[in-house]
Amino acid sequence: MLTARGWWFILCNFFLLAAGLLGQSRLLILTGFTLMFWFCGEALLFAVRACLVVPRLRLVRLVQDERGPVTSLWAERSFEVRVTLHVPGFLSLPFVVVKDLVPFQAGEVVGDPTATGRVDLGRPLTVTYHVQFNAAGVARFEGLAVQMADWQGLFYHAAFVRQAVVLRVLPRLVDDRGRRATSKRYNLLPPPGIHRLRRPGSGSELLDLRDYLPGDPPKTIAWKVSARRDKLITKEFESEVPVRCTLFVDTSSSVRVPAARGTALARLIDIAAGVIQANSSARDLTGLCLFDEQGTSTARPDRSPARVTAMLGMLAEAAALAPTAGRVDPDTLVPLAHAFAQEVYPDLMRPSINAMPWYLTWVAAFPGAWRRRASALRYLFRRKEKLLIGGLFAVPILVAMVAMGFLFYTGISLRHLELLLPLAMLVMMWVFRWPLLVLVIGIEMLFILTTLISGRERRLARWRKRLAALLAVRYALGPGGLALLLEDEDQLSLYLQRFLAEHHVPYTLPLYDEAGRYQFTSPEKVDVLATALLRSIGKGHDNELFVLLADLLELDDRLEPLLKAVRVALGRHHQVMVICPWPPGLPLPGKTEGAGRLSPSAPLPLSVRAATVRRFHEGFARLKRVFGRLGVPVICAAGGDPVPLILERMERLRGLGWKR
Amino acid sequence: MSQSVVDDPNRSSAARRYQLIALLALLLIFVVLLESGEEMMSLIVLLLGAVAIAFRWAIGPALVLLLLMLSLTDWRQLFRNLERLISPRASRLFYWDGMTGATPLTEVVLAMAVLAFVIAQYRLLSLTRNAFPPDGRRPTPGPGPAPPPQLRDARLLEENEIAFLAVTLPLWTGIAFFFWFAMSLYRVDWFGLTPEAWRILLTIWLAGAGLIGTRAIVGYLGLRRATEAEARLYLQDQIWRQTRREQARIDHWLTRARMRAQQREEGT
Repeated sequence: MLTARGWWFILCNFFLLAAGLLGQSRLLILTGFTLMFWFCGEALLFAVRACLVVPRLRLVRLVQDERGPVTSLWAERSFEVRVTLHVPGFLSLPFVVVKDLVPFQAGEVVGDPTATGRVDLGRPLTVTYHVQFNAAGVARFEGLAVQMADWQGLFYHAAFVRQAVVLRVLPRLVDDRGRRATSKRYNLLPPPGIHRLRRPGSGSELLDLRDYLPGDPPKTIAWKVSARRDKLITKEFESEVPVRCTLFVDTSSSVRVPAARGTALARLIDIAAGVIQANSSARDLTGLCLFDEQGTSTARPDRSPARVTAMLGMLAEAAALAPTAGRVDPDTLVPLAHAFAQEVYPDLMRPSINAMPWYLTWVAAFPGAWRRRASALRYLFRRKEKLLIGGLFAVPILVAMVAMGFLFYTGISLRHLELLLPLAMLVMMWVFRWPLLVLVIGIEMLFILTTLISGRERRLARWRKRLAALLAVRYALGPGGLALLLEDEDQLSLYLQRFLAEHHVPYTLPLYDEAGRYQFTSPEKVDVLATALLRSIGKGHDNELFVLLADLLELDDRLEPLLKAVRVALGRHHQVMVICPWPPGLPLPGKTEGAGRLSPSAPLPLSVRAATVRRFHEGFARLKRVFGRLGVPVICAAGGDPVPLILERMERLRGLGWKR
Repeated sequence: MSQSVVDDPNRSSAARRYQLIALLALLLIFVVLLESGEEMMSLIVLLLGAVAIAFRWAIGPALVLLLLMLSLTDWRQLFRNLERLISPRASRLFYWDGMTGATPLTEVVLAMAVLAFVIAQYRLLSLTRNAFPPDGRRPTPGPGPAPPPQLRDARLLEENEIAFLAVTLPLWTGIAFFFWFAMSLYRVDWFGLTPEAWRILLTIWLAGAGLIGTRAIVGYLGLRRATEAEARLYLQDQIWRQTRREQARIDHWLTRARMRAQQREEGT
C-alpha cells in the first residue's frame, strides 16, 4: 500500500523523531509528532476507502454501434465501448485511474481506454473508446483495473472490478465478390434454393409422358396427347428438391496453432462464413458441422436468418478456441499466467492469503518428478530439499548403519546394542571425522550454492505456487489440489492452458514434445469426421454438397475411414470437396520455392524453412492424389478464393444435377 | 515528462499554487531556524528547499526533514543518551535530563510550516512527476520512448483543496501538541523516572501497541470481509503449509505412476 515516496517519508520522520527523543529536542519531537499524526490520519482515511469503497465499486458496460446496444459484434466493424464506474455508498474516491482491459483479440482501438478522476455517489467515472476486431472469435471484456492513490502519492492501491462480458465476434459480412453470379445461364432457371431433379415428382416442369395407370390424378392427364394416341396418357413432372450444402469445419488443435499471420482456423472460419452467407442470400440450405478430436457440434441445413446467425455464432466461438497440448513445460506458461492473474485477480493473489512463505522459497522445491530433461542447475534446485536433509541426517544415519553392521559382525548381542551403538557411532565419527566433515560440508555447500544462484528458479517456484493455489480454488480441485498441481507438471500445464484459454489470453506452445514428436497432429479427428460425414449422408437428401474444411496433411496413412465415408457419399450421388488449410506465409502448392534440393551449406533457418515447405508440398500432393482417385477435388485454402469455387459447385448442382 | 504535461495551463496553474505554498512554508522554517541561532543551516535549508521546489526534486521533502534534523539536534546530548542506552547499566537511562525547547509559538509555527511544506511538495510531485509508482510487471522499455508517467489530473484539483490544507495544518499540529502534553498528565514514580523519560517510554509503547493492535484489527476485519474464494484460498494455503511434505510425497508417487503408465502405453 505504501509507495516508495511513503517509505522514504516514514524513514525520514523516524530519524527526525529518534533524533528529537535522543537529543531531547522538543522542537523536533513536536514536529515529528505532527508529521506522524498527519501521516497516520492519511493512512487511515486511505485504508478506509480501500477497504470499504473499492469492494463496492460497480461497473456498467455498454457496447454499441450507431444504432444502439449490441449483443454480438461483427469483424471489421467499429463499436463503441462505454464503461461507467459507480460507487454506491456515501464515501468517495478522490483520485482514481481506471483502465478497461481491452480484449487481446482487438485489432484497432481508437480512443483511450483509461480515465482519471473522482468517483462520487451520483458522479460516476466513464471510459469511452472504439474497438474493432479483425477476425471472428470471442471478445471477452474482463473488467476495469482501478488504481487509487492519495493526493500526495504516499499510498497506492490497485484493484480490479471484475465483470466479465463475453461477446461473440461474428465473421465479417460477405462482400459482393462472395455472392453468387446472378446472370441467367439456363432458360428455365428454377427459383433459388430449388434444384430440378430428373425424377418423377411434384414439380412444375414436365419430365415425361407415360400411359395412364389407375390411381393417377385426373388433373395430370395430358388430354391432347391422349386424344392423338387414343389412350389415356399421364404427364410426369420433375422432382424439385432444395440444394443443400454441409460444411465440415476442422476445429482441432492442429488448425488452432498460432502463427505470425493468424491461425489456419481463422481462414477456415472465413471461408465457411462466406459460404453460409452467400448460400443464405440465395436461399440455399447450408448445414454446419464443427469437429475436433473429441466430437462434433452440428447445425442442420437451414436458410432462415436466425439459423444462419446461430451458425455464424458457432463459427465465432470455434474461432476463439486455443490450442491444447498435454505435455507442455509449465514454465513457458507460468510468467504469462502469473502476470495476467495479478492484473485480473489481485484479490486472490494478495500475499496475505496466497503467498509462498519466505523460508520455503529457500528450502522447498517442486515438482519431484518431471518428464523433460532438466539442466544441472534446475536438477539441483529441484533436489535441494533432499540435499539439505541429506546433508543433515544422512551422514549420521550412514554412520549408525555402518556401526550396527560392525557390531553384528563382531557378534555382540542385541541386549548390549543400546549401550554400544552410540559408543560405536561416536568412535566411528571420531575415526572418520575428516571424510565425514568434508561430505557434510560438501553437500550443504552444494545446497547453498544451488539456492543462491537460482534466482529465476526461485521466482518461478513462487509464481507457480501462487498460480497453483488460484487454479485449485477456481477449478474446485479440493484441499489437496494445490499440492497436486505443484507435483504434477502435466496437470498444471493443462490447467494453465485452460485458465488462459477461458480468458482468451493468447499464448504459444512448443510444437514438439520432449521426444521430438509433433504435438498437434490430432489423428483422432479423422474418425470423428468420418462418423459425422456418414451421419450426414444418412440424414441427407439427393444431390448434396459436402465440403470438408479439414487439415488432413500428413494424415494420408490414417485416412481410410474417411475415404470409405467419401465413397459412400459419392455412391449416393452426392458431391464432396476437400479444402485444406494452409499455414500462413508458406508458398502455395505448385510454387517453385522449396521444390529444389536442400543445400548442406545453406543457413539453418533457410534449410528449416525449405524442409518445411517441401514437407507441406509433398503432403498436399499426396492428399490430392488420394482424393483424386475418387474424383474429389482438393483445394488449398490459401490459394485463390475457395468461396467462389464452392458456390460454383453449388451452381452446377442446381442447374446440371442431372448431368452428373 | 511529456511536453503536453508541461504545457497544460491547468497543471501549470496548480503547480504554481503549490510551489507558492511550499516556498512560504520554507520561509517560515528559515525564520524559525534563524531565531534558533542556526544561521548557516537555515540558509542551507532555504537554498536546497527552494531548489527542490523549483526543480521538483522527488527527494525534496526528505532532504528538508533531514537538514532540519541535522540543524536542530543537540548532538552532544544525543551521543550521551546513546551511550547511556547501550551501557550495561541500563538504569541510567531513567535519569533522563529535561527537554530543551523553544517558545510554544515557535514550536507551533515550525510544526505547521514543515507539515505545509511536506504536503505542498508531495502534491506538486503528484501533479508534475508521478502519482503512481511504476508498474514492476511491465518489461523495461526498449529503445523507443519511455511510457509517460501517471500524473494527477490537474482538472481534478478541487476548489476547496487549499482550504482543506489550511484546516489540516492546525488540526494535526493541535493533535500532536495535545498528545504530547496529555502524556505529561499521567505521571508515575517508578525507579525515579523523570517525566521526560516517562513520556518517551510511553510514546514508544503507544506507537508499538498501536501498530500491533492496528495490524491485528485490520487482519481480523480482512478475514471477516473475505469472499468465499478468498476464504477457500486462505484455508487451502493453511492446509498446504501444515501438510506440505505429506501431500507432496503422495502426489509425487502418484505422478510417477501415471508417467510410467503412459510410457508403457506408448512403448506398446
